[in-house]
Amino acid sequence: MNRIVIADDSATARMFIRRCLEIIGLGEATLVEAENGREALSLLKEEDTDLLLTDLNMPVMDGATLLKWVKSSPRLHDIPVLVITSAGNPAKEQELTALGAFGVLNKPVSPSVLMAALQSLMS
Amino acid sequence: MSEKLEQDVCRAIATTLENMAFMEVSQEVEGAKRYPAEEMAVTRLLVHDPVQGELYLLMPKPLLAKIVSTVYIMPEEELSEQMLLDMLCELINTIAGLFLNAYLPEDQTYSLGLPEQVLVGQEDNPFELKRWDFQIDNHMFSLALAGDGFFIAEQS
Repeated sequence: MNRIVIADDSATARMFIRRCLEIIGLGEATLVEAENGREALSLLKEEDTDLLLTDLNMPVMDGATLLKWVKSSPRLHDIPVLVITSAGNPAKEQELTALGAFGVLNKPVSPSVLMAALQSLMS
Repeated sequence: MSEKLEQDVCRAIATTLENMAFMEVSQEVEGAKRYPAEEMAVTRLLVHDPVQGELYLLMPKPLLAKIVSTVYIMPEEELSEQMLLDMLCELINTIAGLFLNAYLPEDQTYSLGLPEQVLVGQEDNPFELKRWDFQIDNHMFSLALAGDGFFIAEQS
């Protein structure tokens, strides 16, 4: 993976995800951070991106809206979207999967859980 | 108050701190250090649905500095106030998610607000409020849950 966009309004959460990506060997990828969905969309439009990791609960534009925008854009809709949220449960997961997310992980995410999700994406 | 509510709150706290900061939480607070208001940071998170309520997390800044230092792998002297507050907000977010996932029925969705910093003392709430005290490495901190909905549901 060359470029990964991380969208979360919390700098702590972004750092935590960054650490997990480094631990699972993706530290070499260009990791780009956004504080909300709108910022993430701009970053996605700027350059080809291999993966979007997004929170749900964010100001300005939340993660579900970001997901809808990405999946409805002819240019962006192939980007895999993994939601990392504290507000995930089976019902929410179903809703987000229907919107096009390839997975939903609950916070606090661990490197092994993130790695398993990414391995399932690659396979 | 049911054992379940208490258990779900305590598990959410323990899991969050253990997974995010590798720190062990204890409910045994006798002898733990209590901090004056000026050394405390407080954050509030609204629960909009399906129950209306508020969660408050009250932590001493020295404990927050330890947690942030562990997560960021940075010396405590280099941490900014903003990093401490951001960590507090991320902690309450994660705790709220784990708590509500455990407490509500499995297929029940819920809606949360965004965490916000509040001044110490503003955690007083006109609704029923229950507060739990914990400690990590002898630093005492608390979580409070307000909102009649949680407690009415408990009584019925």
